[in-house]
Amino acid sequence: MEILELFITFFKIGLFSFGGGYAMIPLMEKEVINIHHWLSLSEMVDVITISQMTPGPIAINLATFVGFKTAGFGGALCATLGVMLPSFVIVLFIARSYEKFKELDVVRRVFQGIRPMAVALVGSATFLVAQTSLIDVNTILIALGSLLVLKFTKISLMGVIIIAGVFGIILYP
Amino acid sequence: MQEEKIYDQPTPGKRLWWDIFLTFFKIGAFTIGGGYVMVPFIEKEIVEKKKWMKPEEFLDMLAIAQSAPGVLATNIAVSSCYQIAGIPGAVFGALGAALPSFMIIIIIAMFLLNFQDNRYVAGFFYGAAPAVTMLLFLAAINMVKGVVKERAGMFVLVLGLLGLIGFGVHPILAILIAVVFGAFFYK
Repeated sequence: MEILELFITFFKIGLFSFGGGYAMIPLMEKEVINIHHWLSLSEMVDVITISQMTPGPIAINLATFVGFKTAGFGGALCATLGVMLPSFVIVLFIARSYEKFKELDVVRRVFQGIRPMAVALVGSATFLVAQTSLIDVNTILIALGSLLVLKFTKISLMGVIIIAGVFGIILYP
Repeated sequence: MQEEKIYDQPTPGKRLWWDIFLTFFKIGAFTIGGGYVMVPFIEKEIVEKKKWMKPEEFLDMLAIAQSAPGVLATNIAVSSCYQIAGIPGAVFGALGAALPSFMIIIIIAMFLLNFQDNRYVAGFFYGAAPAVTMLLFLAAINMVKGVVKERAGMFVLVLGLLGLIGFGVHPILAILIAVVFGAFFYK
């Protein structure tokens, strides 16, 4: 039953996520952490960190991780297929009737509405993650340092995360 | 005239499905950071190298991928591979793109679940998490610049932030409100 639950939950997450992996985080938090207690918030932040350092989309990484932790290999398979399935069907549907779809004015308007909400979702994801990541003076200093490095240097995202992680090992209380 | 020769329809069949699978597997295995990072790699493979579709066709497929919910990388694989080889193509492309991260995460999950309490592992995540927070923060700021050009968009953004952070509104409800708002109040 756990496996079916995983499939349905991740199907729902896949169906209602617009605006990329980061915008998916608040929905993951509600479903995976608050409702099903499959992960803690800090574990989810760990998986987001791993996602930034490994190949592949965050959503697939999170689904695989949550599924594996909850119900082993079968769980990982169900959660991952669940998160992929809704968009698979929807994209096929749109691709078949793209010419008609493109001209529908309501489609354009709906997306004008969704885009700012996707920004709000990423904003709220930042807020969520900050609650477990910015917990003392050290982490706040690492955050400020990372912000400056990300903004003003050309060091890659992965590079910044690894450097921050090394500082974390040194400063870990 | 010449262009039509270059972008021939590929021969359909099992060999093409396998080729699609391997191509997307490779893309999935070597692009770190998710959907948007994959776009230029996919374009290079299927438009420039394999010549499975024309550049302008690829842009249409990208538009389809972005207008559907879900995982962007999967969406691009589905829309473009459907164009190349129908539904079997879409299945092989999507599975190929997802499989590398699936396997890697299973290996990491086995490791992480055993070593979560290790001082070095915990320390690494203790330090990396603030950096990831700032990554999200910058992503949100960049999205604001690109997306919110008019007052109605600003309204949805502020209302969304207030609802999501302040009142714990469920993200699905927030998306549905944005859909209704877009459909009825945008011109």
